[in-house]
Amino acid sequence: MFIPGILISLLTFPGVIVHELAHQLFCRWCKVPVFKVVYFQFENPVGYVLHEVPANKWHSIMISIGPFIINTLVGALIAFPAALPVFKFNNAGPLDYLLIYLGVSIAMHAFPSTGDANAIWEHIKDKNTSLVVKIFGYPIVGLIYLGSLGSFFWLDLLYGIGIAIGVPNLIIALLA
Amino acid sequence: MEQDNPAPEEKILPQTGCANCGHPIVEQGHPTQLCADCRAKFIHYPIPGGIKIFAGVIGVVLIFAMFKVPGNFSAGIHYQRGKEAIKKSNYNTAEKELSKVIKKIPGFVSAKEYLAIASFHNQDMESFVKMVGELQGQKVEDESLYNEINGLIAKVPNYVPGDSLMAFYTKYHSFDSIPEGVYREYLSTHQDELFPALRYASVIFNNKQYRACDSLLDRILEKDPAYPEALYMKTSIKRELDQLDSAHYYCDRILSLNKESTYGMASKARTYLKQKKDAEGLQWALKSNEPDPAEPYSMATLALAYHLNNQPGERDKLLEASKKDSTQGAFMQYVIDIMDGKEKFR
Repeated sequence: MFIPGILISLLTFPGVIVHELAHQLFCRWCKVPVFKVVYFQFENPVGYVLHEVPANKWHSIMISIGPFIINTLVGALIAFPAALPVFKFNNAGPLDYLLIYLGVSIAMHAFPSTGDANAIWEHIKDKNTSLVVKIFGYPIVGLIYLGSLGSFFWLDLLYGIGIAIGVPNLIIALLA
Repeated sequence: MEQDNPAPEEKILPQTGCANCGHPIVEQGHPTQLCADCRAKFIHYPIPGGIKIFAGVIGVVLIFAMFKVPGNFSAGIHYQRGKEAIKKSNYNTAEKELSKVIKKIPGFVSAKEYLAIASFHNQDMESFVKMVGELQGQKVEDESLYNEINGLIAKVPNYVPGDSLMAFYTKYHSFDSIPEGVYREYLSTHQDELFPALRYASVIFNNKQYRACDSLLDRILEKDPAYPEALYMKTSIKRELDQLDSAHYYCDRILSLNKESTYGMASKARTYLKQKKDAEGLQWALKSNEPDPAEPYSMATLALAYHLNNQPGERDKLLEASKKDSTQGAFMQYVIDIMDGKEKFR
């Protein structure tokens, strides 16, 4: 079933907001000026951050993959208290379902966009880029593109659900 | 589904001053010409109040939800341990762990399913019947679990007395008081009922008709090879018949079905003691007494093991403790009779 991306983004708008906020926060932490932030809008792209091109290649990579880190952590944290009542105990209340919705929505927007991948690509293909940055950068670009391709097959949703269910179950498996 | 961010945009502005305020002094080494103040301002590009409120609301909801986390995780851990214990046939551990889960989350269907299985294998029929009752009308999603529970339910009539046998129970006040002749007559017309056959086996065991009892137990085990009480009695019969290897065989069968069977371990201890392997006997007796020190059969077995290992102090402590518990009576009396020479153990 094909569902337009913009509709999915609308349904999962908290994830889009956190995604853009993550870009913004990483810009702040890397001391990169930000000129405009659109946290959510009803057109493509549904959100974006306009910032200065970082002089440091690592900063460029970090700003691009920031949402992957932040959305994954925040999504897991929010879903954490609700995952067991919803997915295991079947005794969930409305609050638990709200948290799962937020957690999954946020985690499923963890994947950087192809725009983020292009930003990294532009930086690392430069002949002055060090070998170490290239070694890290190229696989990241490849993975982002794969993730983008996978989102066509609901990989982002699966990732979101995986984070929401997987983290608590992993902790239990380790502690039991 | 796609969400796109434009590539970072480089702002190259023609003027020489700050691109934002026109200040003549700009910070060098950056693609965008900005003065120090404007650069600092753009680095700290403000997060709108609406976004902060949005984050705050999520934070408050999260704080409320966090109060449930310790209880839920504790239940999740006990559930996992219970499931693992069932996989390893450690039904005693499984029942303890899953009971804790049900106490915390009374509506947790899967935990009830597993608890029903553990209770059945521990011969805790009260808990089994209670769990099965609570599962009525609930959807069991795991088909193999569903089949397993149904298989156990089908076995229940073998483990509890039917109405017609209960009539004799009421008349004679206990199953052991029902005369042998009454049992024989009853069994001739109720040949498929295992429970009365087992009660009859118990009566003839008490009357020291060991060979007849052994044959009757064989017939019961032919129909249900995993019948725990029949296997328990088999170990005792084999010891009485001095077939000690066979006694070990039945103990091992019990322990293969339920690795934490205190009866299986205690019976193994008694078999070793009968073989005069007193150190092994004490070891097994201690092991059987570990899960529940007040369990009458294992407590009496440990007292016997201490007695035969010349540890009168430890033995007497158990004898003293048993006086406080009326359920210990018959089992501990057997040990006292052995000590007094009234009963020959080996």
